[in-house]
Amino acid sequence: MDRSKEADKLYKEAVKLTTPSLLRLRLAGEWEQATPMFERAGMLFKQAGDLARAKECYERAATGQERQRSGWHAAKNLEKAAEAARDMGAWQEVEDHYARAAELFAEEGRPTAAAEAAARGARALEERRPESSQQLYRRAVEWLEEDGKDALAGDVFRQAIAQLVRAEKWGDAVAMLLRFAASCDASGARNSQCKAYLGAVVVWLYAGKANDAWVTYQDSLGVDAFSSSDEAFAADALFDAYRSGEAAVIQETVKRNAIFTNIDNQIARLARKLPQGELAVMSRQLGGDGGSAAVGVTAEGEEDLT
Amino acid sequence: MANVTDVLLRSQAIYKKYEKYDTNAATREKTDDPFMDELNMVADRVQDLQLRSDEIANEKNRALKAALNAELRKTKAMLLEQAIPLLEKMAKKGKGQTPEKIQARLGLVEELRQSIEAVADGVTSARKPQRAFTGSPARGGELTINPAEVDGRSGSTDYYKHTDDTRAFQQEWSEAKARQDQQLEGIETGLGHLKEIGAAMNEELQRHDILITEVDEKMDKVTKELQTNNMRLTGLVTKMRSTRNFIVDIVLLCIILAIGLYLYTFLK
Repeated sequence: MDRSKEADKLYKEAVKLTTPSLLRLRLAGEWEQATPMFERAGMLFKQAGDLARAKECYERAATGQERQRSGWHAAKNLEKAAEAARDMGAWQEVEDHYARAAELFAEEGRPTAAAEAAARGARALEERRPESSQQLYRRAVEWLEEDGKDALAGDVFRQAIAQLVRAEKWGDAVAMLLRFAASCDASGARNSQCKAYLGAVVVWLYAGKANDAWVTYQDSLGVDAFSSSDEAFAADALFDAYRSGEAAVIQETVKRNAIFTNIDNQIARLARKLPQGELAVMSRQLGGDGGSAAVGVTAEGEEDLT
Repeated sequence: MANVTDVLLRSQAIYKKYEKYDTNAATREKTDDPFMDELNMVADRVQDLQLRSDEIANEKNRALKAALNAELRKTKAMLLEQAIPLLEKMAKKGKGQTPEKIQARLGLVEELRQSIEAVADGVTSARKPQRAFTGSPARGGELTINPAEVDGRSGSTDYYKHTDDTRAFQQEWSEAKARQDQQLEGIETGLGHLKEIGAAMNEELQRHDILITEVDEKMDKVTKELQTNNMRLTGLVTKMRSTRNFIVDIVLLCIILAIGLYLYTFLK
């Protein structure tokens, strides 16, 4: 593996250049020469399959770039280091590197790039560290909102919402959906906006909070684009079905209306599983009569058929 | 160029420098009664909530309003579920508490809870979805009976009884209607899908439009820079080709050839 040997040689050379030594009258490291060597060594290590050393090379290259005040390149190198860490499975380092890379982008005045870096980091961490992943998604969304680039935000929002729904954080998922809808409003994407509002209603109903669902629905009806859309009528039909308090009616409504299949994939899955939770209670919250069958509901939400 | 991140970093740095002059942070520590501390903290947060609710009321953009209201409701629910029970628990503890004091404290907590619930969170009267198009078409085609055309036939009761023909006709009609309904439903689902596809394409194209405009601008900048560089390069090349350098080149070439020839004859 002469790539690995060459990389090793470059690495040692670069390390020598960066350590202060009195012999060569060098009190601070010579990062200008060392940084490209580190980058090249990192690339060779990666090709040779030695991920640990590749990661280390990229980290040092990033420090070098930072010393030279080139935040953009430093961030790029940190991202490469984070990718190597992800292949290795060192999740804490993945999180740190992606977060720092995103911050460097932001300091350079490029919030879009920062948001992209944060989104990539969140994507990588989705399974192992859902909390950090959600945190990174939130920051990515903030950067995009600040930059006004709502057009690019769609993908990030969708990934964030999918992640929150998988993690079953209903309140956060609804908040993110409403933010997405506000962003779509700014960029004029009416279809996505209406789907986001319907999605919010479905998520609340799935979580069993009929009151919150109703209040969110009322709020969103204030938006003109939504109040005359098919999605609003579908939500209305769903609420009527809930008021009747019968599971069969609810499932019928969801199946018949093609709109429920057109909303975001994760949320469509939730819609198909409706109704969840204590149906009689929710129906009464919405002003219905708790269902004509009025089957008693036990604590676990199962029907008491005795 | 103003950048929010810059402003944020600088303001944080400035705050750190002058933190010791911040009276707000100091006054809260005065009381050594943990219950009153907690109460004051929660009261501060309730005030924040109230301020936010007022801001939201002034917000014109409905979509933003919906999103902010949801956040407000979430914070309210969190305060009601966590902070108030915590305060109630703390009211009962603490040294030197008499039953009257405990009652007084619980009264304060109750007041706080009511003030939290009083924060407006945008819940108004029930709304219903409405279709966007203006009013229904004018009602026309009233039924009129023209007495001049009435003939004697409709008087007899036989006229309205079913015959075989009419029965068959009616059945045919209902079958045809059922078939037509089925086909129409098929068309409806197909149209629904088409609408969905069309709307999705619309949004994608809008997004691409924005992206392409950006790429366009960047390409303009790059082309300009390339042109400047080209001009500079052509300038350099013409300078390099001037006659003086040519002559120097030829002379040096001759000298090298002469040396080579000399060495050749010398070594032969």
